[in-house]
Amino acid sequence: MDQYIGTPLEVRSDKDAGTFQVSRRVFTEQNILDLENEKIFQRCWLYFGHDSELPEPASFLTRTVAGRDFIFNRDTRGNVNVFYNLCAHRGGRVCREKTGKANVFQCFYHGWVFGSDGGLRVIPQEGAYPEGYKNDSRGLVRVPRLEQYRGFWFICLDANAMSLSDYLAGAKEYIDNIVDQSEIAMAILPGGQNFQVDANWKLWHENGMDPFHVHSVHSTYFEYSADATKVGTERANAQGVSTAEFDTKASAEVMMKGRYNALMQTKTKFAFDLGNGHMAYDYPSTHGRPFAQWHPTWDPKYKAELDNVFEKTVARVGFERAKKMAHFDHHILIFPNLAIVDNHGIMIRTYFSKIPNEMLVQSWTIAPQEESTEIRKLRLFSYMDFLGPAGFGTPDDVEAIEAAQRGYKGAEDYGGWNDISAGVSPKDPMNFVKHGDEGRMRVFWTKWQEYLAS
Amino acid sequence: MMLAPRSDIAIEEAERLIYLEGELLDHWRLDDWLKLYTDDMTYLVPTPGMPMDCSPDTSLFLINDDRFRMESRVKRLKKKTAHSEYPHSTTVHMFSNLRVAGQDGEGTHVHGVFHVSRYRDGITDIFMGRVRYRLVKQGDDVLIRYKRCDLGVDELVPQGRLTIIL
Repeated sequence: MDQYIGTPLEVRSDKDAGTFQVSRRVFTEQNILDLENEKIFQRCWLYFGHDSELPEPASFLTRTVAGRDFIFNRDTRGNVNVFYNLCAHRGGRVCREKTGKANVFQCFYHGWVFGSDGGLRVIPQEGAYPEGYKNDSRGLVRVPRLEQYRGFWFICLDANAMSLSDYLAGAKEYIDNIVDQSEIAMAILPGGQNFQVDANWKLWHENGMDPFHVHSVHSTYFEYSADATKVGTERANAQGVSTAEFDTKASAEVMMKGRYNALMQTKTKFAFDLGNGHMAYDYPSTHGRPFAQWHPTWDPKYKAELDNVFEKTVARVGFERAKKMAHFDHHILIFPNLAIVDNHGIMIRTYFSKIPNEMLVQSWTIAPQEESTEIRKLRLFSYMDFLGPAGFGTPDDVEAIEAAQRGYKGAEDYGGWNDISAGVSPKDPMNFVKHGDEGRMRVFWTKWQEYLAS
Repeated sequence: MMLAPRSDIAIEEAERLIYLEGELLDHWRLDDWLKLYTDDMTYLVPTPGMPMDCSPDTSLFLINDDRFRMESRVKRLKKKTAHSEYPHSTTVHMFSNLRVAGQDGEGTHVHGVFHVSRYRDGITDIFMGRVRYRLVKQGDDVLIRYKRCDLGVDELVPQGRLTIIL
């Protein structure tokens, strides 16, 4: 062993032996989860919500993040706030609705009233207190830090944390490539999906970075995709629409020659360490993308409009960037618990564990505000080809990580370690990232251990 | 609304069809189950917590299947590599409070409630909610043209995923 990171030892590596391992205790033990809450979730920037979820002054929603109940609102002056959802008086839950519009929030326990800016407005028994007792020091409690990057609002429980902009580091460029899919602004669509997974939160974050599970876990998706491409190609050709550049026999590399060669030369797939534990990877899409890439699986009637959106994007952001945004799938994993997947639609997902072997997943989809009715419909239909709790992909990921979690029972008997060694090389740092190896996950685990040990 | 709207399809016929559907699903006879549906079928399950009138054209759903994707779902569920349903769950489909709610160009509207229990690998999950069918006559058969299941929960906790057909 040449490297023991942190105490207690949870991540160990040996470059000469070509190994990188993570203790299975990190998925099962309450004391590790307690440490994570203290050292990661109370110090890192955590995704909270999107600007479009608060469309007008007085809009609000309630959301649980990092195990805390919050109110997310736009006050009557238009400022965005995140308050702890509790009364200054005796801690009653001030807002018990999921979403709506409210100029004031009244605690039903003893009737204290707070403005949408959090200020204390009414104590019903004010006469029982000294004069001046009703003041804003007894207002709703604000989350210590609240900042946004291009419409994505994050909170941080550590008042002394670095700025969100510094924290996001290289992930900002990827967020830009999502946000710039719109000429105006992106909007979260109705139908955010919350669901429970019986596994530790880190297993899904890791799964989102894992290159090797795709073909074994998702073979039924690829078979479905091949069927849909065959049927769609026949439909398109019958209508005289050429599908040559999407030849079903073509591998991604062949597609590259037709569509991506100018942009990417010999490379087809990419993965990057974005700093601060974030990573992303990109590869040429082999299916339709609601943002500006028609594919034979879709009715040819959509092609002209998608091509037009692409041309408009080229005019706005340039050819190279438009190609990257429209013709590649993107997976962005932001430390510690945010995933943004841009493939069959855009999925934004967070996950938290209250107990080690469960997580609550919150997920949303987002789209350009100006998108046409027809493409919006297509986007929402396409999302379910793979994504969501009833899609042809996501449930099998869930099965895989739940099965792993079950397998960890008894790991203490034999000191079990997960192996994340593919690609470890004496000449590279442990978090060196290539598309096709497990360095993608080592980016996360290296940062995870650094936080826990600090 | 009339208590007993006029319809070409009697409630007894609708019940026979819907109970048969539940039985075929519980026995995982999915190819036979598909035969109960028309070629222009739609099967919808909105995201939990959404209103009963939300549309798959503007809101994210759990399921919005046309015939091709429904057949693909069945094809997938029959494979050992559909990991989330291998081995298959045991299910009990219960449909109740069924009534003919009306008839229009889309077919005979039948409304009711469902309660589907799913057991797998030591865990039992319940999916319950309201079901809306549109049934049509084709020759001597009554077929399902549209089925929509609105779950009566706000989130899939603890169910997690919906890999069975409701």
